[in-house]
Amino acid sequence: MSTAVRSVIGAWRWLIGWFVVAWIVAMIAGAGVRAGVRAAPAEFVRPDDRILAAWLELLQLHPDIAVAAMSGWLASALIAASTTALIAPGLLVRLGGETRLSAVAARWASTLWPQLATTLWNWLLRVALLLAVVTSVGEFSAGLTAALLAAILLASTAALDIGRAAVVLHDAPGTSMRCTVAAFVALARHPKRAAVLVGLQLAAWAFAVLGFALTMRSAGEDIWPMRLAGLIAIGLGAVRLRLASDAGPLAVATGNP
Amino acid sequence: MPFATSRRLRLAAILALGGCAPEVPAAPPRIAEPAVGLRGPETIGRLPDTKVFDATLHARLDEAVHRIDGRLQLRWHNRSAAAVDHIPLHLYMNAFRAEDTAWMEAGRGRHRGVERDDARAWGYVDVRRVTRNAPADARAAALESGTSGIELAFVEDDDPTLGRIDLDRPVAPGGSIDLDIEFVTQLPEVFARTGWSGPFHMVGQWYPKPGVLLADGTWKAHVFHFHSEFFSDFGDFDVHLDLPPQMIVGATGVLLDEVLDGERKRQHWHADMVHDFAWAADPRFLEYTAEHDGIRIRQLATPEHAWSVDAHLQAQRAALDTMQRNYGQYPWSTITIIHPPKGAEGAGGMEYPTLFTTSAVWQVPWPARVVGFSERFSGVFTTVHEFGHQYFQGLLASDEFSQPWLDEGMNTFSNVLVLEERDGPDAWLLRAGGLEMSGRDFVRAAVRDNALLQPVDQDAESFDPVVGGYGDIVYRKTAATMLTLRNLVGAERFDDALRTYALRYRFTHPTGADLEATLVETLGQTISLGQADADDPSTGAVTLDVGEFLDQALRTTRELDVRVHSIVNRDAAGERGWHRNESGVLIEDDGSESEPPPPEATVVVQRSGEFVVPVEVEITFADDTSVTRIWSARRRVGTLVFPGRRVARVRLDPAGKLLLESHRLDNHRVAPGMRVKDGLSGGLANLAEAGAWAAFVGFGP
Repeated sequence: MSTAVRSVIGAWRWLIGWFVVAWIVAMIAGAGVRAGVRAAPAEFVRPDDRILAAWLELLQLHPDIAVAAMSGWLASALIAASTTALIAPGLLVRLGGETRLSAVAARWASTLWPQLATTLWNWLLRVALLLAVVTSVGEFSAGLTAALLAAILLASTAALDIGRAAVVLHDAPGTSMRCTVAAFVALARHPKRAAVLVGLQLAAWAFAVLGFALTMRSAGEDIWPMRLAGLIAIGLGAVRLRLASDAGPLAVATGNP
Repeated sequence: MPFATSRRLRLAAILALGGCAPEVPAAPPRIAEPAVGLRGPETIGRLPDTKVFDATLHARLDEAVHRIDGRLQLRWHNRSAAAVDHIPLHLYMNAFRAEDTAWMEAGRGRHRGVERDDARAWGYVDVRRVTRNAPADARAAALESGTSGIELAFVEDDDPTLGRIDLDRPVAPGGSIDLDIEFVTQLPEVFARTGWSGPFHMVGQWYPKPGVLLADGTWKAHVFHFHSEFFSDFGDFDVHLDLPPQMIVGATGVLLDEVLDGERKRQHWHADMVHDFAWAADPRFLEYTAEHDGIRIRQLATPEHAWSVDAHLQAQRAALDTMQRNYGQYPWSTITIIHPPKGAEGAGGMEYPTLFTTSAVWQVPWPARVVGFSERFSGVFTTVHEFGHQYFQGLLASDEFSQPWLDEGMNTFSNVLVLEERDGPDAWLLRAGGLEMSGRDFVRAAVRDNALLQPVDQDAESFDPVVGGYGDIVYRKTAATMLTLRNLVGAERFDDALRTYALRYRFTHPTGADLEATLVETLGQTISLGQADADDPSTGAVTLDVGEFLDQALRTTRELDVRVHSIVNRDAAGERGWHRNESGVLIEDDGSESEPPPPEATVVVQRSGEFVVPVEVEITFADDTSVTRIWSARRRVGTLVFPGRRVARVRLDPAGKLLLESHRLDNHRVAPGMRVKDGLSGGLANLAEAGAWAAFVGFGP
């Protein structure tokens, strides 16, 4: 673990770059809402301390502001998923110790497509599993449903990390669905590694929830705890990628799915 | 997977999800059943002479088929000035008899979010036989014929929730009649107030109930409509229940006697001066008793809800304290709180004399708790609300069909005061992080849109569930009306007025007119709210017309809304130019010898709604001093001029007195050119950004 952390700290420029991307995306989401509120036809001043009641009135009058917020969140999620897929190959090479930009770029270019393909397969499988649980409403209790959904998301992310690392570092055939399946198998065969990867993902989520809670508790006044939580979560994501690369090559049978 | 590992994983999952089942608290020592139903006269004073009947009910519950074989022996007194030749009966249980009853047709099988699915069993009440005791002159003949009385004709109306007994001879004014009614009540599977769910039985509105005879001899009896509740006279009940021995029962009144007789249990309940009798039975009930101010509080909860009994007890104590102080002593010796079990949520949140059903306290999931979410709606508020009905309808037994606002709305108003007294003036009902919504906030939030669909003062039938708005109009707009009036006239003055109403009309059937007349009588027809300009007596006093206020709030759909239209800071008019002097000669003043004109501020305020009520206007000047004016709002637009000043910002209703106001955000305005943080966009933008960060972390790295 400590080696992985040292590798990630050594790649701090990558982290800062990733953080800046996330920050810009989040700020744009906030700016949309800010513009929506300011465009509302009134010159507000903080109406005493009943700020939640004021927000409620504002959103009742201008539901487009809520739509703007949700659009921002959706866009953020999509951009997060796609930028991660774009950044991951280069970051994996860099975390593996390669510091020459040209070498990183060459490896990034040569593995981008199979890495995107394995990402796509993983997401298809993930969505299928999530749908299977969601459409079984009534079969499980609400608590169990939530636990299953979380377990699927955590396991899929860990398997994706392993699959990406295998594609980028060991030329695993990412375009084949078998590669994705092999990543899940590798995850299941090494519960200790799986626990560490899942734990890191859970920790990232926990930081995100904590940051959001602190922003909520301050009625939106304090945003820096959330930004800091975002930076830590990005760092944890990078550590996870580095540890996933320890899984090595995958035993993938050749041939198309 | 090995069993031990599996168990450890399962335990870890349960702990991680915060799904630990709360412990069932041990019951404190049982408080004995009170010996009598009413508290002593030294506490509650003399009761008015308003008793209309004495009822003896016999009920045998067949728990396997959820059926009650019943018999009502009723001595009914004609307290009107006219002879009575028929008695209408409410047969409320028949609302659940078929899809085409007025009640079912309006709601289409859905009530307060609980749906009646096709598998649920129907319910009904079937009057099998009505007799009356033979009068003295015919008693011998009746006995000879082997009948215990004279059989009377009974017919159901078109809607089966009403029926009618035709008397063979009129009951004279001041006279009485003894009726004997045999009936069968089939309880429905509960989804709206009454019925069964597994072994749980909530037995409310279950026996034939006579209508209410007004003083002029006209009957008040209504078809059971979707939004309607109930209306009955006061009387004494003796109720004999015949039950399976394992049943634990909560009921109106006090338990006088219990006998185990073979495979059955027989209980004798008694209630004084109540207008209904309801009971609940479940073998799983755990009993928790406490005492407060000489009143026995009894809670019956199934094990899954037992963890929350203390929260309900505290709410009940707070409600008793505030309600007794505001509206007089609670007259009965006991109050029973029923916690409907899981699956019987439809029975929750309903009031009966000395007994009510509450709702479960929601166990907030841990992710919501982490972000600081908590609420007092579920459970606690329900208990405060349903107990409040012991006053607003239990004691002040208004006609819930004709004027539902008198009980639901006045009660909601009183609930806000209970919570504020218990938890402080800004008592929150919902909290999300550092953000809170108080009872007043919720009341205020409800007076937009739906609340303006129809006037408050209408009968329940006028509120079509398809149109919507019943809760916002009847509950919350009424509460907003009373809270606004209280804010305007002063809390102490208003509370005194309402206490006068409560004491004057207890154990009677007050109408809206009675309430309004009492308010006008005690508060005065017009109330001075102060000088329009406190520094200038010549501006005159601004008055509130109480009657006009109530009339607008209760019988119109006028919207109360005011806004700051504009703030104009400019120079006062100067004196440059040509003027005639004393000799009539035109002389030019080029301004070179006079002072530059002083500033002058004009504030334009607008009444954008139709509702007329005086409004306080707080003006803050550029030098950060402020003054408050009172604007009558009789005219649509008002201007306030401040010579020599520049205005920085203006707030209408700065103290938030007008809870009836639909839109408050435009009550505030900053003068052009003044840079002031708006207080809304920053916080919302940051929350949106935080959400975007969370989404990024969730789907990205």
